[in-house]
Amino acid sequence: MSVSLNGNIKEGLFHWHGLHYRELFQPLYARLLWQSFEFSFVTTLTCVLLGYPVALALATMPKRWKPICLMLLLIPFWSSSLVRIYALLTLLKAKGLINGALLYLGIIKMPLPLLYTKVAVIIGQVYTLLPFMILPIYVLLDEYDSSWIEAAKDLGASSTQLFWRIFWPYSLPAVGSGVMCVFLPAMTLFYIPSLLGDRSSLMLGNVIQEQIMNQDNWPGGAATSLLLTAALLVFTLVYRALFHKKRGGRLG
Amino acid sequence: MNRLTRSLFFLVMAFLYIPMVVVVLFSFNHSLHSLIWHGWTWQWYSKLWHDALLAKVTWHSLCLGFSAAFISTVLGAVVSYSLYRYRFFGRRLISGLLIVLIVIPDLVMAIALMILFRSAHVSFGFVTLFLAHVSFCLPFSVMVISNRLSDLNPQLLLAAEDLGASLWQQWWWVMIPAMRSALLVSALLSFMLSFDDVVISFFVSGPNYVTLPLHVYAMAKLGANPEINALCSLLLLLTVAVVLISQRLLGKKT
Repeated sequence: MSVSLNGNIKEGLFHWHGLHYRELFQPLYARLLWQSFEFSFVTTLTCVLLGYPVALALATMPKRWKPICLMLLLIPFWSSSLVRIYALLTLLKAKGLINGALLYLGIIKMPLPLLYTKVAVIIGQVYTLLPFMILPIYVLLDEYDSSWIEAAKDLGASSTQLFWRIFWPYSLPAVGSGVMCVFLPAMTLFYIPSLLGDRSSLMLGNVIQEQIMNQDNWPGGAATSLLLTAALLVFTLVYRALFHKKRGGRLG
Repeated sequence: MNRLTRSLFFLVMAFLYIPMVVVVLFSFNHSLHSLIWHGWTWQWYSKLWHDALLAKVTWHSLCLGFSAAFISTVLGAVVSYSLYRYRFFGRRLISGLLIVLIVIPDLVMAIALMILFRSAHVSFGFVTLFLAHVSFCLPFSVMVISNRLSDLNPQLLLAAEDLGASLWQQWWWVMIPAMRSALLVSALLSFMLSFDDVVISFFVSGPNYVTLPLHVYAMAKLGANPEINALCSLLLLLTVAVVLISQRLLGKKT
């Protein structure tokens, strides 16, 4: 990463200066950085809201169905996210299935512009990253002891209390690792905005890709990715500070 | 609470599966553009079969996947064994670094590797792709194999040593049989990771060595067409097969 501090890489001379870092504080970058945060935040929040109940449903499922349902979750987890994004693209396009169905049913007169929007990018991110939220939470919740429920019920807890006072605190570390597994890729998976979004929905990953591949601006690209690494570090430290004293969340 | 979570479970599953099912279904549709059903056809698959460029990039991805899976599993076994057997200076640092490699965003790793290769004047192609793929598969291999080793009774190795087994004999008669399922899972996962990777390959591939996902990405950028539908269906089929096999292997262990 030292290239980002290097003035001119082609000459191979290491002039240490902060120019490329100052570049990062230009309004354009600040706006894109903010947008990436915004998108990733919405994606992560949606993934928690959808993923937690799914993990809970999976963990409390009768033994007979569990292996099949787990398998159903592992298939999207392991399939190529590019293939899955492409699948979503065929569904969202102007002549795609959703618009087709809505037109057929007479709900809309004109095809809705679903693809190449900010919403499409967020849907794409949620679609790709949701399994990465569900699995860590499931792995931890799966180890729950049914005696807890009995004990809580014996002591007169309602199901809301049961959830907020037992399941939620217990599973918090796993939610934390799920958030890390979703938030960081959401900032960097450049092919999701580039396939599903338009020029206005670009993110930090696209900036880096653009800087390096099209403008040959390596120091700039390296500086941007170093910023990303710094974000990762802050994130990890916050995570450790919050959860390290309790038991660590584990990845499936 | 229970009924709510269960219905949400089915909704989310529908959300995850409908697009994939639609792609598979429409790869058999007889029409080029419309979403109206025009009858079954194999024509898109036969078109893929005769696509010379596709055959080339698939061959590239297969070579890369197999070699990266093999090497990362071998190295993963050696690393896991060292972490399991020996207490040495920097042991905790190494296991920490492996976790960093798992959580670090692909993009950051891609750029770091690209700059490294560029400064070392390695020409971009199979070699750079291979090195990059091994380096992102290795932490996963170590994770899978170490997980298996943590269940292994250390006295087994001591017993073998007591009975006069050389290091090679210990590996051949004790370690490899004990790790067999983990080795296979590690190879499968590494293969899948390598075979599906877009982000890292995007930055470290050369114009003469394009992989299958990069080819799909370039095609998908131009919009949807039934040929990609067919290709994506085949890739999904491969994933389902790998998941089923690795679940079977992991299931056997316990």
